[in-house]
Formats: sequence, C-alpha cells, structure tokens
Amino acid sequence: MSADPSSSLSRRGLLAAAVIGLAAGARGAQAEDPGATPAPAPAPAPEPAPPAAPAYVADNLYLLVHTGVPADALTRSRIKAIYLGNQTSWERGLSVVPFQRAPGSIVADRFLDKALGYDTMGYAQHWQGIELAGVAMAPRVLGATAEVLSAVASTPGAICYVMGGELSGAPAGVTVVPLPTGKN
Amino acid sequence: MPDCLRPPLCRPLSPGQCLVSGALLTVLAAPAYAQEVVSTALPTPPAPPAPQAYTTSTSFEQPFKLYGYINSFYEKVGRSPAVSEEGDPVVEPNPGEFDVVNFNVMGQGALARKYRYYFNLASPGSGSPTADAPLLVRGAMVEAPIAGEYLKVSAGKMYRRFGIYNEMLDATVSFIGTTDPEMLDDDHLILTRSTNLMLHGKVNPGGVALRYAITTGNDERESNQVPLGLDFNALFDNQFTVGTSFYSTNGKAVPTVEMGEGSPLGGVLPWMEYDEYYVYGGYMQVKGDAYLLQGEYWRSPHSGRRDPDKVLQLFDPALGLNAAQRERFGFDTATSADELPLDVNYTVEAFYLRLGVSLHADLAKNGRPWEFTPYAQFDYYSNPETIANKDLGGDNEAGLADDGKFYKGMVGLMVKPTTTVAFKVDGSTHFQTISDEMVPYSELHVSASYYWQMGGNAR
Repeated sequence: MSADPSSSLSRRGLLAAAVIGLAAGARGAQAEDPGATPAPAPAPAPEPAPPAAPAYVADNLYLLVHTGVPADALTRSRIKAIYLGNQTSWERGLSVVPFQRAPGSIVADRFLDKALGYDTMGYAQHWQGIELAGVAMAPRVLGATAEVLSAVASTPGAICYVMGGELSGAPAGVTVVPLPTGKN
Repeated sequence: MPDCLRPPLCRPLSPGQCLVSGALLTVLAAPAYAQEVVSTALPTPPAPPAPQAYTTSTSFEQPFKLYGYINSFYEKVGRSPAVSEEGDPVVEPNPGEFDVVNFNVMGQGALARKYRYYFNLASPGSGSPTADAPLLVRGAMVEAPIAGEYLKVSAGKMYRRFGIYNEMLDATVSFIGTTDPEMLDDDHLILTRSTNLMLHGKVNPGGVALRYAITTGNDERESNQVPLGLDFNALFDNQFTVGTSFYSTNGKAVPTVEMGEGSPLGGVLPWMEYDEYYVYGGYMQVKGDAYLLQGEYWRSPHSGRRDPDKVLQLFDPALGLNAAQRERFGFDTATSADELPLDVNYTVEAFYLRLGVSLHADLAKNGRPWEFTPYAQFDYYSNPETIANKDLGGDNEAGLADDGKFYKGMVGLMVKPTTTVAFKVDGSTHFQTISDEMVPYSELHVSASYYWQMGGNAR
C-alpha cells in the first residue's frame, strides 16, 4: 500500500487553523465592534491584484476532475452513484473514469464516510460483488498526490479526490471542486 | 507558497501578517477547519505557483485483475420424504456431506478503458476426495461500447441479465445465504443462465440509474430460433432497485441433457421432445445502510410435447413417481404407448423474499470490526411437470410433492471478520404435500468462503 500524504496533516492542520483563527478572529472582532472609534479615512485603493492561486483547507475533501468534465455536474448524489458504479457517464456521454485512493488511507476512509456513507469494508464488499458477477471493475487505486493529479489530468472523464493539504497551486488539466455537502 | 487567507467578513490582513500566516501554512501544510475559505489577493502578492503540467506518459489503464474464491460447504439433510415403489410416502435418513461447492477463477481487464474482457472458470462440486472435478468455462466474453455507456455489446458466453441473482450467482462470498434462491438451484432452473450476445446500456436521467439489456444466443433452441431475453431496471437514490425481466424461447426449444444425464441447464425437461416457453416477472431490492431486502417473482408458462420414448423410461416403478405424477403421464390409464398424453401445458412459478441486517462488533481489538449479518429467506417454487429423480432431470424438492409445489423457510447468520472471508450457517425447513399430507424436512448448511485477488487493486 502506498504512503498517504495526507495522513500526517491533522495535527499540523489543527495548529495552523488555530493560528489563522486567532488572527482572523481578532480582525473580525474589530470590524464588527459597533462601539469602536471611527476608522480614519480609508487609504487609497490598492492596485488591482493579479489572479491568486486558490487556497485549500487541509482537512477538507476536494474532488479532482479532468477539465473536460462540467464541474456543476458534481452533486453529492452523483458522486455516490459514480463511486458505487451506478453512473458511468457524464451528461454529454463522456465515460466516467473514477479513481480511488489506497483503501484504509485517511483520505479514502474520509471520502467513503462523507461522500458515500460507507466504511472500507462495506465499500470493498460492494465492489467485490460486482467484480465477481463480472459486470464491471472497481475504480483503479492511485497512490501519491502526484499520481492522482497526473491520472486525472491525462484521462478524459476522470475523477478522484484528495485532501486539501495535498494540494498547492492550481494543477493544470484538473478542476478542483470542494466535496459537495448536503443531500443532493 | 499559498496566498494569504481571510474570512469573508474580515478586513485584509497586513502583508506582514499574511507572510507570517503563509509561512506557517507552508510549514504546517495549511489547514483551517471551521469554514471553507476563499482566496484573496494581496497588494503585493507573491507570484502564484506556475501550473504544473501533468502530461506524463504513464498509463492509467485499468490493469488486468485475477481473482476468485473458494467455498467449502457442509450439508446435513434431516430425514427427508420420499416415495416408495408402491407410491407410499416414506422418510429416509441422509448422511452429512462435505463439498467445495464453488471454486472459481476469474479475470478481467480493459483495453483503452473501452474494451473489457472477462472470464470465469469454475469447478462446481469439486470437493469429492475420490473424484476430480473438471474446470468449466462459466463465462468468457468481450465487451465494447457502441454509443458510450448508453449502448454496449457483450459477446461470448456470459450470464444473462435476468433478475437480481442470475449474474451474481458465483459471488457466493459476497451475498447473504449459503445457497442461492431456489429458483436458481441447479435442479430447477427456469431458463438457461448463460447466453451469447447482450446489448446493454445505462442512462442516468434525473439521478435515476436506468439499465437495460437485450440478450440472445444458442440457449436451448431447436435450430434457427432466436431466443430473446430482456431486462430493465431502475435504481433510485442508490438504494432502491425495481426491475422486470422477460424471456422467450421464440419457438421450439429442446432439452440440454439426455435422460440420465442429470438436471437440465435450462427450462426444458429432458423427457420433452420440444417445449416453447416464456418467463416474465419482476424483482426489487432495497439496500439500506445496515439492511438488505430482496425479492423476485417469476412465472413461466410452457407449451410443449413429451417424447414418448423418454416418457416410457419414467414408467419404471423404482423411480417412485407419486400418484399425481403417474396420472399426469398417463401411466394409470393408457393401455399402450400410443395413448400416452404427450401434449402438455403447464406453468412454473418461483418466488423468494430475502432479508439481511448487518451488525458490527469490534471483536478484533484495534482491528476492523467484524460484520454479523443475520438473515432470513422464504422461497416458493412450483413445477407440476417435474419428478423427484434428479438423475433423470427431475427435482427432488418440487418433484416429491403431489402438486409440484414446495415452500422453504430459512434463517441464518453470516460472519465476516474481513472483507475476504465469510462464514455462514443456516437452517431451513422444506414443506410439501405428499399423498395429501404436509411433510416437512430440515437442512443444515455451513459454509466458509474465501475471496482472493491478484493484480488490479490488490496493491
């Protein structure tokens, strides 16, 4: 089983979140304090900033899809249908190519729980039944983040998932979408 | 290096704060828990990282996978009813039997993610210590898309898509119950399990998964008939499946085995000269987080003609035909072979309901919890044309009964310490009417099955 790059992020993530939370909280409190002294005249507006690279929350799950996949198609029920083998094409007829992460890794366990409502055992059994029936094959397992990015970017219709802590910058050929929440 | 982060209602952080935060994020791998955050711009932002190109030549094809399972089995049938040569009901003891009821080796892969291939080699009933069982080709097929996922063609030899269990019957390790539903038991199939050509596809309008399949093949056809199988099902919310299947011999079908060769491989009994039949019915499955409920109902009207020479082989009193069967075959009234009733119309019916509930217990201590699944099943099967002798193609359950009907209730427990090992034990009781008397008998089944795999996701 390959190493899971997200497995050591949780404690570091908590510390960083605390730091950010403290800083942001202090600023927020100032901004919302109705009794505060009126602020001095605002400084001249800064120059328009160039587009920034996206930021990712380390412990949140993100979906990676090939750029040809319409990101608005990624509803929660559809993600579940895809990873259970019940949906095998995108709306334009493009075949879905799902990849999964190493079974038992933190990112895989969290995705199965939050996106599908399965545990590792239940998910393995689900695909075991399908493969024994000869109807389809389970999503291919990918290991390190670089392999995930490479696979999704180079495979039309591909979809996989990562933890935010595995991402930096904007990977080429890949659309990054937070895992949808809510029933649909 | 990541950009500075801020909650939406905050004023911008100073560059210094941003740099500090950014450095921390870099070192600590950048998290925040409470809410999703949005990216922002700095007056003098650091240059965003250049998009990384992932245009490697690495192939992410689906790798070939070899897998299968072994299913060891023990069966003890209680004192079971039979019919004496005089036609009287008797009960007979039965020894317990060990077997390897299923030993399967399967493989599948895909080329260019489009052209899938699959094979299934099986050695059913290979547990005899005194006789070697052959390895049979249960399936060997290739699949190619014609219109993406909407229309595919599979050709070769494959289990037809029909109801819930026909395709997954070899997946013993993955379903509840030591045995398949009675309608798929070897000695009372209602149609051939396999066929040769399947057009099938899947669409997902409005979040509903609709699947269809059209099948044909050699099946049991007499000559150039084109048997037709259809299946259509809908899956709602990834949980509730409802479907219907249909099958027609589309003309004359003939037996797949000769008299004395055992159970037929389809719906035509060995003493028929020909038979025309169709099958229709429906099925449903509800798959919740911790429970599974399944049910199927099938009805199969037959219109055929018995082979007089083969019918005469059934006249042997040692076969123990009951009074109703002797009357049906005309043995009590015909004075010569010419008077035997040969044209016959009858209907086979099958129904089952199966329920399992999954419970988890952390028995492994620091390992994955064991899964316990108590289950229950009720089966009904009716075939008024069959007889009890299995060697001649009969059915020693429905064939025992006056009216060809039997009921079976079963309760059991499946224990899975891992995803690849399943222990099952179940007890069942059959009920049938013999000489106007309801006669039950019981069975105990114990099985241990192990799923193995090489390649594919076994990494």
